[in-house]
Amino acid sequence: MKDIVIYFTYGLTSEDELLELFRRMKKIGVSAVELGVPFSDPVADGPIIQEASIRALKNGGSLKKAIEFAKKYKDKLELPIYLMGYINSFYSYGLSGFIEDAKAAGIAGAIIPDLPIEEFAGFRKEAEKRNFALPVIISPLSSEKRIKMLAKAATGFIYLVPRMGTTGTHTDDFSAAKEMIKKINSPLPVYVGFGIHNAASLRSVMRIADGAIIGSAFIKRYLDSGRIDEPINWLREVAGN
Amino acid sequence: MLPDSNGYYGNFGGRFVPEILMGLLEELEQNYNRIKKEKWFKERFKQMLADFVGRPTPLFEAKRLSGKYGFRIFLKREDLAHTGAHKINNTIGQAILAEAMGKTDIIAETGAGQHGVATATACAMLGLNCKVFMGTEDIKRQYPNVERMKILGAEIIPVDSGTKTLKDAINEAIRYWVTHADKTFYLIGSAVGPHPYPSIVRDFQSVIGREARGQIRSKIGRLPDMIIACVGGGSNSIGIFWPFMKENVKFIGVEAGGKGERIDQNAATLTYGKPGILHGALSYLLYDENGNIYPTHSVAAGLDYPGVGPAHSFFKEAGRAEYHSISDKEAIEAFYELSELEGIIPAMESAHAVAYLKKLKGKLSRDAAVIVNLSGRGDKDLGEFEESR
Ligand SMILES: Cc1ncc(COP(=O)(O)O)c(C=O)c1O
Repeated sequence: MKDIVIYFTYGLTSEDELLELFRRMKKIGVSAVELGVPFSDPVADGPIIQEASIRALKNGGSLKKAIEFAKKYKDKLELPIYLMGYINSFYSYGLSGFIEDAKAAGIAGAIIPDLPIEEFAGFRKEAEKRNFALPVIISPLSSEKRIKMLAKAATGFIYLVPRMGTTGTHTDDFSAAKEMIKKINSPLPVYVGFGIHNAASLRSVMRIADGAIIGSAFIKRYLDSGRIDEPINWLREVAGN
Repeated sequence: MLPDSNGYYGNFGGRFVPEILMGLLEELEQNYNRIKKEKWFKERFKQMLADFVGRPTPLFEAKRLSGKYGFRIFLKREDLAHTGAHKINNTIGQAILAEAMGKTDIIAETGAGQHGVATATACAMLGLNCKVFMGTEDIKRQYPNVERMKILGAEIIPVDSGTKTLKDAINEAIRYWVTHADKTFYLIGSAVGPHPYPSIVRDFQSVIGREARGQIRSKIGRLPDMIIACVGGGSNSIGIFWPFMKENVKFIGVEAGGKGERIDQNAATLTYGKPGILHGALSYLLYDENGNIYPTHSVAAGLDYPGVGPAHSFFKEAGRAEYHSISDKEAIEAFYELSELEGIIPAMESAHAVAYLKKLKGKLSRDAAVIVNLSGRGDKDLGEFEESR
C-alpha cells in the first residue's frame, strides 16, 4: 500500500468539521495530514492555497491554535499530523518552545519550505534529539550534491517537488521526478507533491514514489463548495476507493 | 567580515528561501564573488556609471537651508543620476552581472517605480527582457513611472493581492521566480532579500559614499559629522553609510512614520518592529503575535515596506546607526521646504531624510557638517499627496 498525504489549511473550517474531515480521510485510506499554518505572505503558494490562507486567517487560524487543536483531540485524530507553514510563524512562536508544544500535542513533525537545512542548525538538532520530524524538500533544480545533503538531513519523509513553480499548478509529466527519485539514497519514504490534480496524475506518482501529497486540488473543492463532502468525494474517486 | 560566509551581519541576514532557489543563490554568490574582482567588470561598471548614469553626482552645499537650521548642510545629489534616483547604480551593476551569467530574462519589483524604471532602463540599454511587478495601489500613486517603464519596453505586471504595494509586488516576483527559476534573474531593488543580494546591492550603491567622501574632503577638508538617509529597504542609506563605516561619522537612518505609531499606519520597521523572517532574510520586521506581516502605510511608496535590509538591523543592534521616523506630514513639509529654499524638488522618500534636519535645529554647532543623501527627485510625486497635505 502506498501513502496518500493530504494538505489542508488549519482554520479554513470549524474544528468540528476538521475532526470530521480527519475521520473521513482515515476511512478512505489517507495516511497522514499536512496541516497548513496560514500565513499572510505565502510566497511558495499559488492562488488556491493563498485563498485558503486568507480565509483561514480571517477565521483566526494560527500556529498556536493548530497546536491546541492537535493537543485537544490527540486521542481522536487517528492520522499523524505534520504542520506545514512558513518560517516566520514558527520563529515568532519560538523555535524550541514550538518543538516542545508540538511534541506534547502529538504532532509528528513540521515542513517549512523557506527554512533550508543550512539555517537554524540548532533547531534541526533539537528536533532530531526529540524525535520530531523535519522532512526536506527536494526540487528539480537541486544538484546531486544538494540531494545527497538533503537526503541525509531529512527525518520523517522526503518531499519531492516534481516541477518548478508554486503549489497548485497541474503536473502531468512525472518523468523528471522518476529520474530524481533514482538519485535519492535514503531509507525514508519519498513522497511526490505539487501538481497532483486527478486520478491519472495520482496513478503516475504512485508508480514511481512511496506516496503522493495532494493539496490544492483537494482544498479547491472545499473552497468552491464550503463543504467537506466535496473534497472527500473527489478524493475517494481519484484514489479509487 | 560583513557579512560572514553564511551571509550574516551579526545576527541578521541569511538565506531563507525554498529549496528551488538555493542552487541559484549559490550560483549567484559564486559568480558575483568572481566577477566583481575581474578587471573588465570593474571597468565596465565604472564607465557605465560615468557615461550612462552621469556620475559622479554633485555634492551641493544647501546654503539657505543651512542658514535656516544653523549648521552646514550638504546634499548628495542622487536625484541627478540618470532616471532620477540612486536605484540606477544597482540596476546597472546587476544587469551587467546577469548578462555575464548568461541570463536574459530579468524580473524586478518596484514600489515607487524608481527601481522599475531603473531596471527597465538598464535592460533596454543591454538588450535584456524586463518584467516589473508593481502593486496596483502604487501603479495609481506613481503613475508617471509606470508610463516611463512602458516606453522603455518593460512589461508591467500589476499585483492586486494583500496591501497592493511593495511587499506584495515582491511576493509575486518571488512566485514568478520559483516558477521560472532556471531562466530568470531576479534583479532586487534594495539591500534586502536572501544572501548575497543585500551585499550585492550594498556594493553597487557604495559608489554614493565613496564619492561623497572625496567631495566633502575637498569642500571642507575633513569628513562630515553626520550622514542622514531615508530607509525603505535600505539601499541608498547603506550605499552612503558603508564607505564611512570605520570613521567617526554619525549615521541617521530615517524611516516612514506615516500617520502615526499605530500598527498599519507606518512603515517604521526599525522603530516599531522586531526580528523576523520575510523575503529570504532574518531582519527587523513588522508582524503580529502569530508571525503575520502587518500592512504598512507611508506617503512615500518607496518606503512603504514592512521589512528592512539585514545590515541596518545589525547597525541598530550594534549601535552603529540611529534610526528615527518622520511622519507623512513632516515629509510633505520638507518636500516643499527644499523646493522653495533650494530649488530642488525631492522624491517623497528623500524628503523624509530632509525632514530630519529640523529635529537637529539648535543641537549642532555652526560649523558642523551634515550630508543628506538626496536619493531621488520628486517628479513622480507631483500631485499624488495633495490630499494628505
Ligand atoms: C528616491 C527613492 N529613495 C529611497 C527609496 C527607498 O529605498 P532604499 O531604502 O532601498 O534606498 C526609494 C525606493 O523606491 C526611492 O525611489
